[in-house]
Amino acid sequence: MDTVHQHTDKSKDNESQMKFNWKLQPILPDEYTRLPSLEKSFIGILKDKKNISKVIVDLTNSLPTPQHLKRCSGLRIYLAYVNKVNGSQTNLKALLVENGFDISLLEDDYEIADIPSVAPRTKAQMTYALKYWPVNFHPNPYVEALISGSVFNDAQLRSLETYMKIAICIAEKSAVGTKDCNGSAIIVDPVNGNILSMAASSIDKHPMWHASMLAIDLVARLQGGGSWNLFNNAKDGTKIVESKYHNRMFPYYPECLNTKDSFPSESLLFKKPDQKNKNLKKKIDSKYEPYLCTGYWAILLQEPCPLCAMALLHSRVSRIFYGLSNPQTGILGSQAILHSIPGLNHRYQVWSSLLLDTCRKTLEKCRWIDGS
Amino acid sequence: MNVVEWMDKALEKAEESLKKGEVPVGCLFIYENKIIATGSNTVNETRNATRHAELNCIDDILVYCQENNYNYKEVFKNIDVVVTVEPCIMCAAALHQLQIRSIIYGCANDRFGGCKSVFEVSKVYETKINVVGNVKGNEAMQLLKDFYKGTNPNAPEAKKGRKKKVDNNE
Repeated sequence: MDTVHQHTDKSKDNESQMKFNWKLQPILPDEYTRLPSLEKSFIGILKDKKNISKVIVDLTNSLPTPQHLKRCSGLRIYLAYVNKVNGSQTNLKALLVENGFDISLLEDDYEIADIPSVAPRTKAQMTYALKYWPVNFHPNPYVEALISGSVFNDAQLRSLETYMKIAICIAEKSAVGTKDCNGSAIIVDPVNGNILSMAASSIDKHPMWHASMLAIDLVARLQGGGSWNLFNNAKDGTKIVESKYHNRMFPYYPECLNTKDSFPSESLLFKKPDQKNKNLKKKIDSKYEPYLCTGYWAILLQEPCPLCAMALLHSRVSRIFYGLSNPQTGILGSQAILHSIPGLNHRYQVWSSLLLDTCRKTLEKCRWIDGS
Repeated sequence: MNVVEWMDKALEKAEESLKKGEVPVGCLFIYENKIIATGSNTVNETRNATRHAELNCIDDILVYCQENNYNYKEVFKNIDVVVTVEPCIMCAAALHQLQIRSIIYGCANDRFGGCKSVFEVSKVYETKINVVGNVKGNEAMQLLKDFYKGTNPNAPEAKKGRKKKVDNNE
Protein backbone atom coordinates (compact mmCIF):
# COMPACT_ATOMS: atom_id res chain seq x y z
CA MET A 1 0.00 0.00 0.00
CA ASP A 2 1.29 3.44 -0.87
CA THR A 3 1.46 5.70 2.11
CA VAL A 4 2.10 9.37 2.20
CA HIS A 5 4.28 9.29 5.28
CA GLN A 6 7.28 8.46 3.18
CA HIS A 7 6.94 11.93 1.80
CA THR A 8 6.98 13.70 5.15
CA ASP A 9 9.93 15.72 6.27
CA LYS A 10 12.16 13.33 8.23
CA SER A 11 14.01 16.14 9.99
CA LYS A 12 10.82 16.86 11.90
CA ASP A 13 10.85 13.36 13.32
CA ASN A 14 10.14 13.57 17.01
CA GLU A 15 13.56 14.17 18.53
CA SER A 16 12.76 12.39 21.76
CA GLN A 17 12.32 9.15 19.92
CA MET A 18 15.93 9.31 18.84
CA LYS A 19 16.74 8.02 22.33
CA PHE A 20 14.96 4.80 21.50
CA ASN A 21 15.99 2.35 18.83
CA TRP A 22 12.35 1.84 17.90
CA LYS A 23 9.61 4.18 16.79
CA LEU A 24 5.94 3.69 17.49
CA GLN A 25 3.87 3.55 14.33
CA PRO A 26 0.23 4.54 14.71
CA ILE A 27 -2.11 2.13 12.93
CA LEU A 28 -4.55 4.57 11.42
CA PRO A 29 -7.56 4.01 9.21
CA ASP A 30 -6.77 4.03 5.50
CA GLU A 31 -8.21 7.47 4.97
CA TYR A 32 -5.32 8.96 6.97
CA THR A 33 -2.51 7.07 5.28
CA ARG A 34 -3.35 6.54 1.63
CA LEU A 35 -2.43 8.96 -1.12
CA PRO A 36 -5.46 11.13 -1.89
CA SER A 37 -7.21 9.87 -5.00
CA LEU A 38 -7.32 12.04 -8.10
CA GLU A 39 -10.05 12.57 -10.66
CA LYS A 40 -9.88 14.03 -14.15
CA SER A 41 -11.50 17.45 -14.21
CA PHE A 42 -12.20 20.25 -16.68
CA ILE A 43 -10.20 23.40 -16.03
CA GLY A 44 -11.09 26.68 -17.74
CA ILE A 45 -8.43 29.30 -18.49
CA LEU A 46 -9.44 32.84 -17.64
CA LYS A 47 -8.79 35.31 -20.49
CA ASP A 48 -8.55 38.43 -18.34
CA LYS A 49 -7.41 38.43 -14.71
CA LYS A 50 -9.70 41.34 -13.77
CA ASN A 51 -12.81 39.19 -14.32
CA ILE A 52 -11.76 36.67 -11.68
CA SER A 53 -14.20 37.68 -8.94
CA LYS A 54 -17.12 37.83 -11.40
CA VAL A 55 -16.29 34.34 -12.66
CA ILE A 56 -16.03 32.98 -9.13
CA VAL A 57 -19.39 34.41 -8.10
CA ASP A 58 -21.16 33.32 -11.29
CA LEU A 59 -19.77 29.78 -11.05
CA THR A 60 -20.68 29.43 -7.37
CA ASN A 61 -24.32 29.46 -8.38
CA SER A 62 -24.12 27.25 -11.44
CA LEU A 63 -21.30 24.80 -10.66
CA PRO A 64 -20.30 24.82 -6.97
CA THR A 65 -16.86 23.35 -6.17
CA PRO A 66 -16.53 20.32 -3.89
CA GLN A 67 -15.91 21.67 -0.37
CA HIS A 68 -12.25 20.70 -0.24
CA LEU A 69 -11.26 22.44 -3.49
CA LYS A 70 -10.48 26.07 -4.10
CA ARG A 71 -11.91 27.52 -7.32
CA CYS A 72 -8.77 29.01 -8.83
CA SER A 73 -5.16 28.19 -9.32
CA GLY A 74 -3.80 31.40 -10.85
CA LEU A 75 -5.81 31.92 -14.03
CA ARG A 76 -6.93 28.31 -14.08
CA ILE A 77 -10.52 27.82 -12.97
CA TYR A 78 -11.92 24.51 -11.69
CA LEU A 79 -15.14 23.72 -13.55
CA ALA A 80 -16.27 20.10 -13.01
CA TYR A 81 -15.16 16.49 -12.76
CA VAL A 82 -15.05 15.14 -16.31
CA ASN A 83 -17.36 12.25 -15.32
CA LYS A 84 -20.00 14.63 -14.03
CA VAL A 85 -20.57 15.92 -17.56
CA ASN A 86 -20.15 12.53 -19.28
CA GLY A 87 -16.67 13.46 -20.42
CA SER A 88 -17.94 16.04 -22.85
CA GLN A 89 -16.69 19.62 -23.08
CA THR A 90 -19.78 20.42 -25.17
CA ASN A 91 -22.07 19.18 -22.39
CA LEU A 92 -20.19 21.28 -19.86
CA LYS A 93 -20.47 24.42 -22.01
CA ALA A 94 -24.19 23.83 -22.52
CA LEU A 95 -24.61 23.45 -18.77
CA LEU A 96 -22.71 26.70 -18.13
CA VAL A 97 -24.73 28.64 -20.69
CA GLU A 98 -27.98 27.20 -19.32
CA ASN A 99 -27.00 28.60 -15.92
CA GLY A 100 -26.38 32.04 -17.33
CA PHE A 101 -22.58 31.88 -17.24
CA ASP A 102 -20.72 33.95 -19.83
CA ILE A 103 -18.43 31.33 -21.37
CA SER A 104 -16.64 33.97 -23.44
CA LEU A 105 -14.76 34.95 -20.27
CA LEU A 106 -12.81 31.68 -20.61
CA GLU A 107 -10.53 30.44 -23.35
CA ASP A 108 -12.49 28.30 -25.78
CA ASP A 109 -10.61 25.07 -25.07
CA TYR A 110 -10.74 23.59 -21.56
CA GLU A 111 -7.83 21.77 -20.05
CA ILE A 112 -8.25 18.31 -18.48
CA ALA A 113 -6.23 17.85 -15.28
CA ASP A 114 -5.94 15.46 -12.30
CA ILE A 115 -7.60 17.03 -9.26
CA PRO A 116 -7.73 15.60 -5.70
CA SER A 117 -11.18 14.03 -5.31
CA VAL A 118 -11.27 13.74 -1.51
CA ALA A 119 -10.45 16.17 1.27
CA PRO A 120 -6.94 15.70 2.73
CA ARG A 121 -7.01 14.46 6.35
CA THR A 122 -3.34 15.03 7.20
CA LYS A 123 -0.61 17.54 6.43
CA ALA A 124 1.18 14.92 4.36
CA GLN A 125 -1.92 14.33 2.27
CA MET A 126 -2.35 18.08 1.90
CA THR A 127 1.21 18.48 0.65
CA TYR A 128 0.51 15.79 -1.91
CA ALA A 129 -2.83 17.30 -2.93
CA LEU A 130 -1.27 20.75 -3.37
CA LYS A 131 0.93 19.41 -6.16
CA TYR A 132 -2.29 19.07 -8.15
CA TRP A 133 -4.63 21.81 -6.98
CA PRO A 134 -5.12 24.31 -4.11
CA VAL A 135 -7.21 22.66 -1.37
CA ASN A 136 -8.91 23.73 1.83
CA PHE A 137 -7.40 21.98 4.84
CA HIS A 138 -7.95 22.18 8.58
CA PRO A 139 -5.27 20.16 10.37
CA ASN A 140 -6.41 18.01 13.27
CA PRO A 141 -3.71 18.58 15.92
CA TYR A 142 -4.29 15.20 17.56
CA VAL A 143 -3.95 13.31 14.28
CA GLU A 144 -0.76 15.23 13.50
CA ALA A 145 0.61 14.38 16.96
CA LEU A 146 -0.22 10.72 16.39
CA ILE A 147 1.64 10.74 13.09
CA SER A 148 4.69 12.61 14.37
CA GLY A 149 4.85 10.55 17.55
CA SER A 150 4.72 13.56 19.85
CA VAL A 151 1.57 12.25 21.50
CA PHE A 152 3.79 10.40 24.01
CA ASN A 153 6.52 11.96 26.14
CA ASP A 154 9.83 10.28 26.97
CA ALA A 155 8.67 8.97 30.31
CA GLN A 156 5.65 7.31 28.74
CA LEU A 157 7.75 5.78 25.99
CA ARG A 158 10.17 4.50 28.62
CA SER A 159 7.28 2.94 30.54
CA LEU A 160 5.92 1.31 27.40
CA GLU A 161 9.38 -0.07 26.73
CA THR A 162 9.49 -1.48 30.26
CA TYR A 163 6.15 -3.23 29.85
CA MET A 164 7.29 -4.70 26.57
CA LYS A 165 10.53 -5.95 28.13
CA ILE A 166 8.42 -7.85 30.65
CA ALA A 167 6.21 -9.18 27.86
CA ILE A 168 9.34 -10.31 26.03
CA CYS A 169 10.63 -12.02 29.16
CA ILE A 170 7.47 -14.06 29.73
CA ALA A 171 7.15 -14.91 26.04
CA GLU A 172 10.70 -16.26 25.94
CA LYS A 173 10.08 -18.35 29.01
CA SER A 174 6.74 -19.86 28.23
CA ALA A 175 4.87 -18.81 25.08
CA VAL A 176 3.56 -21.70 22.99
CA GLY A 177 1.50 -20.68 19.99
CA THR A 178 0.48 -21.56 16.47
CA LYS A 179 1.24 -19.87 13.17
CA ASP A 180 -1.99 -17.91 13.71
CA CYS A 181 -1.10 -16.40 17.05
CA ASN A 182 1.76 -16.50 19.53
CA GLY A 183 3.41 -14.25 22.08
CA SER A 184 2.42 -12.57 25.31
CA ALA A 185 0.08 -9.89 26.62
CA ILE A 186 0.12 -7.42 29.49
CA ILE A 187 -2.84 -5.33 30.60
CA VAL A 188 -2.08 -2.13 32.51
CA ASP A 189 -4.06 0.65 34.08
CA PRO A 190 -2.62 3.83 32.52
CA VAL A 191 -3.87 6.00 35.37
CA ASN A 192 -1.33 4.60 37.84
CA GLY A 193 0.84 2.43 35.60
CA ASN A 194 -0.04 -0.74 37.48
CA ILE A 195 0.14 -4.05 35.71
CA LEU A 196 -3.21 -5.78 36.12
CA SER A 197 -2.43 -9.08 34.46
CA MET A 198 -0.02 -10.74 32.11
CA ALA A 199 -0.02 -13.97 30.17
CA ALA A 200 1.85 -15.94 27.58
CA SER A 201 0.22 -17.84 24.77
CA SER A 202 -0.48 -21.40 26.03
CA ILE A 203 -2.22 -22.96 23.06
CA ASP A 204 -0.63 -26.34 23.81
CA LYS A 205 -2.85 -26.54 26.91
CA HIS A 206 -6.09 -25.16 25.45
CA PRO A 207 -6.79 -23.95 21.89
CA MET A 208 -8.32 -20.68 23.15
CA TRP A 209 -5.51 -19.83 25.55
CA HIS A 210 -4.02 -17.12 23.40
CA ALA A 211 -2.10 -14.54 25.42
CA SER A 212 -4.75 -11.81 25.19
CA MET A 213 -7.58 -14.21 26.04
CA LEU A 214 -5.76 -15.30 29.19
CA ALA A 215 -4.85 -11.75 30.20
CA ILE A 216 -8.50 -10.67 29.82
CA ASP A 217 -9.73 -13.57 31.95
CA LEU A 218 -7.18 -12.69 34.63
CA VAL A 219 -8.52 -9.14 34.78
CA ALA A 220 -12.04 -10.56 35.09
CA ARG A 221 -10.75 -12.63 38.02
CA LEU A 222 -9.48 -9.46 39.71
CA GLN A 223 -13.02 -8.14 39.50
CA GLY A 224 -14.48 -11.24 41.12
CA GLY A 225 -15.23 -13.10 37.89
CA GLY A 226 -13.16 -15.11 35.47
CA SER A 227 -14.04 -18.32 33.72
CA TRP A 228 -10.99 -20.50 33.29
CA ASN A 229 -9.74 -22.67 36.07
CA LEU A 230 -6.15 -21.53 35.93
CA PHE A 231 -5.41 -21.83 39.64
CA ASN A 232 -3.96 -25.09 40.93
CA ASN A 233 -5.18 -27.11 38.03
CA ALA A 234 -3.96 -30.49 39.24
CA LYS A 235 -4.56 -32.17 35.90
CA ASP A 236 -1.78 -30.49 34.03
CA GLY A 237 0.19 -29.25 37.00
CA THR A 238 -0.12 -25.61 36.02
CA LYS A 239 -1.06 -22.87 38.35
CA ILE A 240 -1.47 -19.19 38.29
CA VAL A 241 0.81 -17.12 40.44
CA GLU A 242 0.12 -13.91 42.23
CA SER A 243 3.43 -12.20 41.75
CA LYS A 244 4.93 -9.51 43.84
CA TYR A 245 6.49 -7.03 41.51
CA HIS A 246 6.98 -3.37 42.22
CA ASN A 247 5.25 -4.02 45.55
CA ARG A 248 2.06 -5.01 43.86
CA MET A 249 0.32 -8.29 43.43
CA PHE A 250 -1.03 -9.21 40.09
CA PRO A 251 -1.89 -12.48 38.43
CA TYR A 252 -0.05 -13.96 35.53
CA TYR A 253 -0.16 -17.19 33.64
CA PRO A 254 1.57 -19.54 33.22
CA GLU A 255 4.02 -19.59 36.09
CA CYS A 256 7.27 -18.56 34.55
CA LEU A 257 8.85 -15.86 36.66
CA ASN A 258 10.95 -16.25 39.74
CA THR A 259 12.74 -13.95 42.11
CA LYS A 260 15.94 -14.25 40.10
CA ASP A 261 14.34 -12.49 37.15
CA SER A 262 15.65 -8.99 36.97
CA PHE A 263 13.10 -6.73 35.47
CA PRO A 264 13.84 -3.19 34.44
CA SER A 265 13.49 -1.03 37.49
CA GLU A 266 12.14 2.16 35.95
CA SER A 267 9.03 3.50 37.52
CA LEU A 268 5.94 2.31 35.78
CA LEU A 269 3.94 5.32 36.83
CA PHE A 270 2.63 7.28 33.93
CA LYS A 271 1.59 10.25 35.95
CA LYS A 272 1.66 10.71 39.69
CA PRO A 273 -1.86 11.77 40.60
CA ASP A 274 -1.74 14.97 42.62
CA GLN A 275 -4.09 15.46 45.54
CA LYS A 276 -6.68 17.26 43.48
CA ASN A 277 -6.73 14.54 40.87
CA LYS A 278 -6.78 11.89 43.57
CA ASN A 279 -9.97 13.27 45.01
CA LEU A 280 -11.45 13.57 41.59
CA LYS A 281 -10.41 10.02 40.82
CA LYS A 282 -12.01 8.74 44.02
CA LYS A 283 -15.19 10.43 43.00
CA ILE A 284 -15.03 8.92 39.55
CA ASP A 285 -14.05 5.47 40.90
CA SER A 286 -17.08 5.28 43.11
CA LYS A 287 -19.26 6.06 40.17
CA TYR A 288 -17.42 4.00 37.62
CA GLU A 289 -16.46 0.74 39.24
CA PRO A 290 -14.12 -1.28 37.00
CA TYR A 291 -16.12 -2.57 34.04
CA LEU A 292 -14.38 -5.18 31.95
CA CYS A 293 -11.08 -3.66 30.74
CA THR A 294 -12.53 -0.22 30.08
CA GLY A 295 -9.77 2.37 29.73
CA TYR A 296 -6.92 -0.11 30.16
CA TRP A 297 -3.98 -0.49 27.81
CA ALA A 298 -2.77 -3.77 26.29
CA ILE A 299 0.86 -4.44 25.41
CA LEU A 300 1.27 -7.38 23.03
CA LEU A 301 4.38 -9.02 21.63
CA GLN A 302 2.67 -9.55 18.29
CA GLU A 303 -0.22 -8.09 16.35
CA PRO A 304 -3.34 -9.95 17.53
CA CYS A 305 -5.27 -12.50 15.49
CA PRO A 306 -9.03 -11.89 14.94
CA LEU A 307 -9.87 -13.86 18.11
CA CYS A 308 -7.63 -11.71 20.31
CA ALA A 309 -8.27 -8.40 18.56
CA MET A 310 -12.04 -8.75 18.91
CA ALA A 311 -11.71 -10.05 22.49
CA LEU A 312 -9.80 -6.84 23.35
CA LEU A 313 -12.46 -4.79 21.59
CA HIS A 314 -15.31 -6.50 23.50
CA SER A 315 -13.30 -5.84 26.67
CA ARG A 316 -13.08 -2.16 25.78
CA VAL A 317 -9.36 -1.57 26.18
CA SER A 318 -8.56 1.96 25.05
CA ARG A 319 -5.08 1.48 23.56
CA ILE A 320 -3.09 -1.41 22.14
CA PHE A 321 0.69 -1.41 21.61
CA TYR A 322 2.27 -4.31 19.81
CA GLY A 323 5.79 -5.08 18.70
CA LEU A 324 5.74 -7.22 15.63
CA SER A 325 3.27 -7.47 12.76
CA ASN A 326 1.42 -10.73 12.19
CA PRO A 327 1.17 -10.76 8.40
CA GLN A 328 -0.86 -13.98 8.23
CA THR A 329 -3.76 -13.36 10.57
CA GLY A 330 -3.18 -9.94 12.18
CA ILE A 331 -6.17 -7.64 11.81
CA LEU A 332 -4.75 -4.50 13.42
CA GLY A 333 -2.80 -3.42 10.36
CA SER A 334 -1.84 -6.53 8.34
CA GLN A 335 -4.94 -8.30 6.99
CA ALA A 336 -7.34 -5.56 8.04
CA ILE A 337 -7.68 -2.55 10.31
CA LEU A 338 -10.37 -3.74 12.71
CA HIS A 339 -10.59 -0.45 14.59
CA SER A 340 -11.53 1.44 11.43
CA ILE A 341 -14.41 -0.81 10.39
CA PRO A 342 -17.65 1.15 10.61
CA GLY A 343 -20.42 -0.19 12.83
CA LEU A 344 -18.37 -1.50 15.75
CA ASN A 345 -19.54 -0.09 19.08
CA HIS A 346 -16.09 0.55 20.56
CA ARG A 347 -12.84 1.72 19.08
CA TYR A 348 -9.37 1.50 20.48
CA GLN A 349 -6.22 3.20 19.26
CA VAL A 350 -3.36 1.07 18.05
CA TRP A 351 0.40 1.44 17.68
CA SER A 352 2.91 -1.06 16.31
CA SER A 353 6.71 -1.43 16.39
CA LEU A 354 7.27 -1.11 20.14
CA LEU A 355 10.73 -2.68 20.60
CA LEU A 356 10.27 -4.17 17.16
CA ASP A 357 13.68 -5.82 16.69
CA THR A 358 13.73 -7.48 20.09
CA CYS A 359 10.18 -8.72 19.60
CA ARG A 360 11.16 -10.27 16.29
CA LYS A 361 14.07 -12.14 17.86
CA THR A 362 11.86 -13.25 20.74
CA LEU A 363 9.16 -14.63 18.48
CA GLU A 364 11.75 -16.67 16.60
CA LYS A 365 12.69 -18.27 19.91
CA CYS A 366 9.09 -19.00 20.94
CA ARG A 367 7.71 -22.50 20.80
CA TRP A 368 5.19 -23.36 18.12
CA ILE A 369 2.71 -26.14 17.69
CA ASP A 370 0.71 -27.13 14.64
CA GLY A 371 -2.62 -25.36 14.92
CA SER A 372 -4.56 -27.67 12.64
CA MET B 1 -33.43 -33.80 14.64
CA ASN B 2 -33.60 -31.35 11.81
CA VAL B 3 -32.15 -27.84 11.62
CA VAL B 4 -35.32 -26.12 12.81
CA GLU B 5 -35.64 -28.42 15.81
CA TRP B 6 -32.02 -27.73 16.71
CA MET B 7 -32.60 -24.01 16.46
CA ASP B 8 -35.61 -24.37 18.79
CA LYS B 9 -33.30 -25.92 21.34
CA ALA B 10 -30.77 -23.11 20.90
CA LEU B 11 -33.56 -20.56 21.34
CA GLU B 12 -34.48 -22.25 24.63
CA LYS B 13 -30.91 -21.72 25.83
CA ALA B 14 -31.11 -18.08 24.75
CA GLU B 15 -34.32 -17.62 26.74
CA GLU B 16 -32.65 -19.08 29.82
CA SER B 17 -29.83 -16.54 29.58
CA LEU B 18 -32.32 -13.71 29.14
CA LYS B 19 -33.85 -14.70 32.49
CA LYS B 20 -30.38 -14.51 34.06
CA GLY B 21 -29.88 -10.99 32.77
CA GLU B 22 -27.40 -11.99 30.08
CA VAL B 23 -27.54 -11.11 26.40
CA PRO B 24 -29.88 -13.81 25.06
CA VAL B 25 -27.79 -15.94 22.74
CA GLY B 26 -27.98 -19.71 22.77
CA CYS B 27 -25.72 -22.21 21.10
CA LEU B 28 -25.40 -25.96 20.44
CA PHE B 29 -22.42 -27.97 19.24
CA ILE B 30 -23.54 -31.04 17.33
CA TYR B 31 -21.33 -34.07 16.73
CA GLU B 32 -22.45 -37.14 14.83
CA ASN B 33 -26.00 -35.84 14.88
CA LYS B 34 -25.96 -35.52 18.67
CA ILE B 35 -25.88 -32.40 20.82
CA ILE B 36 -22.67 -32.66 22.85
CA ALA B 37 -22.57 -29.11 24.24
CA THR B 38 -25.05 -26.33 24.88
CA GLY B 39 -24.13 -22.84 25.96
CA SER B 40 -25.27 -19.31 26.49
CA ASN B 41 -23.69 -15.94 27.06
CA THR B 42 -22.15 -15.53 30.57
CA VAL B 43 -20.47 -12.13 30.21
CA ASN B 44 -22.07 -10.56 33.25
CA GLU B 45 -21.63 -13.61 35.46
CA THR B 46 -17.90 -13.89 34.67
CA ARG B 47 -17.17 -10.20 34.21
CA ASN B 48 -15.39 -11.29 31.08
CA ALA B 49 -16.65 -9.77 27.82
CA THR B 50 -15.40 -12.74 25.82
CA ARG B 51 -17.65 -15.33 27.45
CA HIS B 52 -19.99 -15.76 24.54
CA ALA B 53 -22.14 -18.87 24.08
CA GLU B 54 -19.76 -20.34 21.48
CA LEU B 55 -16.67 -20.03 23.68
CA ASN B 56 -18.52 -21.64 26.58
CA CYS B 57 -19.42 -24.56 24.30
CA ILE B 58 -15.81 -24.88 23.15
CA ASP B 59 -14.70 -25.31 26.78
CA ASP B 60 -17.35 -27.99 27.30
CA ILE B 61 -16.22 -29.88 24.20
CA LEU B 62 -12.65 -29.91 25.47
CA VAL B 63 -13.85 -31.50 28.71
CA TYR B 64 -16.03 -33.94 26.73
CA CYS B 65 -13.01 -34.98 24.65
CA GLN B 66 -10.81 -35.36 27.69
CA GLU B 67 -13.40 -37.54 29.41
CA ASN B 68 -13.92 -39.73 26.35
CA ASN B 69 -10.27 -39.78 25.40
CA TYR B 70 -10.97 -38.22 21.99
CA ASN B 71 -8.58 -36.03 20.05
CA TYR B 72 -10.34 -32.65 20.23
CA LYS B 73 -8.88 -31.49 16.93
CA GLU B 74 -10.58 -34.37 15.13
CA VAL B 75 -13.85 -33.85 16.97
CA PHE B 76 -14.03 -30.13 16.17
CA LYS B 77 -13.54 -30.87 12.46
CA ASN B 78 -16.88 -32.69 12.50
CA ILE B 79 -18.81 -30.23 14.64
CA ASP B 80 -21.84 -28.32 13.40
CA VAL B 81 -22.55 -25.16 15.38
CA VAL B 82 -26.15 -23.99 15.79
CA VAL B 83 -26.39 -20.51 17.30
CA THR B 84 -29.27 -18.07 17.56
CA VAL B 85 -27.22 -15.03 16.48
CA GLU B 86 -24.50 -14.79 13.80
CA PRO B 87 -21.18 -15.40 15.59
CA CYS B 88 -19.22 -12.23 16.33
CA ILE B 89 -15.77 -11.66 14.81
CA MET B 90 -14.09 -13.22 17.85
CA CYS B 91 -16.25 -16.35 17.88
CA ALA B 92 -16.08 -16.76 14.11
CA ALA B 93 -12.28 -16.62 14.42
CA ALA B 94 -12.35 -19.26 17.16
CA LEU B 95 -14.55 -21.55 15.02
CA HIS B 96 -12.25 -21.08 12.03
CA GLN B 97 -9.16 -21.84 14.09
CA LEU B 98 -10.82 -25.06 15.30
CA GLN B 99 -11.86 -25.85 11.71
CA ILE B 100 -15.40 -26.80 12.59
CA ARG B 101 -17.62 -28.09 9.78
CA SER B 102 -20.56 -25.71 9.60
CA ILE B 103 -22.35 -22.79 11.25
CA ILE B 104 -26.13 -22.44 11.28
CA TYR B 105 -27.34 -19.18 12.77
CA GLY B 106 -30.61 -17.35 13.41
CA CYS B 107 -30.47 -13.59 12.99
CA ALA B 108 -27.63 -11.50 11.58
CA ASN B 109 -25.38 -9.57 13.96
CA ASP B 110 -25.12 -6.04 12.58
CA ARG B 111 -22.84 -4.85 15.35
CA PHE B 112 -20.15 -7.55 15.54
CA GLY B 113 -20.99 -10.22 12.97
CA GLY B 114 -17.95 -12.17 11.78
CA CYS B 115 -19.53 -14.30 9.06
CA LYS B 116 -20.75 -11.53 6.80
CA SER B 117 -22.28 -8.55 8.62
CA VAL B 118 -19.31 -6.51 9.88
CA PHE B 119 -16.16 -8.38 8.86
CA GLU B 120 -15.69 -11.62 6.95
CA VAL B 121 -13.32 -13.57 9.17
CA SER B 122 -13.12 -16.34 6.54
CA LYS B 123 -10.92 -14.01 4.45
CA VAL B 124 -8.15 -14.40 7.03
CA TYR B 125 -8.22 -18.19 7.31
CA GLU B 126 -7.54 -20.94 4.80
CA THR B 127 -10.29 -23.13 6.23
CA LYS B 128 -13.73 -22.97 4.69
CA ILE B 129 -16.80 -23.33 6.87
CA ASN B 130 -20.25 -23.89 5.42
CA VAL B 131 -22.48 -21.08 6.78
CA VAL B 132 -26.30 -20.97 6.73
CA GLY B 133 -28.09 -17.93 8.13
CA ASN B 134 -31.63 -16.83 8.92
CA VAL B 135 -32.96 -20.01 10.50
CA LYS B 136 -35.77 -18.75 12.75
CA GLY B 137 -34.05 -15.38 12.66
CA ASN B 138 -37.11 -13.42 13.76
CA GLU B 139 -37.41 -15.38 17.03
CA ALA B 140 -33.75 -14.81 17.83
CA MET B 141 -34.04 -11.12 17.05
CA GLN B 142 -37.14 -10.78 19.23
CA LEU B 143 -35.21 -12.12 22.23
CA LEU B 144 -32.47 -9.53 21.67
CA LYS B 145 -35.10 -6.80 21.44
CA ASP B 146 -36.65 -7.99 24.70
CA PHE B 147 -33.22 -7.76 26.33
CA TYR B 148 -32.50 -4.24 25.12
CA LYS B 149 -35.88 -3.04 26.28
CA GLY B 150 -34.57 -3.58 29.80
CA THR B 151 -31.44 -2.13 31.33
CA ASN B 152 -28.32 -4.23 31.68
CA PRO B 153 -28.29 -4.73 35.49
CA ASN B 154 -24.52 -5.24 35.54
CA ALA B 155 -23.47 -2.12 33.68
CA PRO B 156 -21.80 0.44 35.96
CA GLU B 157 -23.99 3.12 37.52
CA ALA B 158 -22.80 5.83 35.13
CA LYS B 159 -23.84 3.88 32.09
CA LYS B 160 -27.31 2.94 33.19
CA GLY B 161 -30.19 4.71 31.62
CA ARG B 162 -28.39 5.18 28.35
CA LYS B 163 -30.30 2.34 26.83
CA LYS B 164 -29.34 3.01 23.28
CA LYS B 165 -25.68 2.61 24.13
CA VAL B 166 -25.95 -0.54 26.22
CA ASP B 167 -23.38 -3.02 25.02
CA ASN B 168 -24.61 -5.89 22.95
CA ASN B 169 -21.90 -8.25 24.18
CA GLU B 170 -22.42 -10.63 21.32
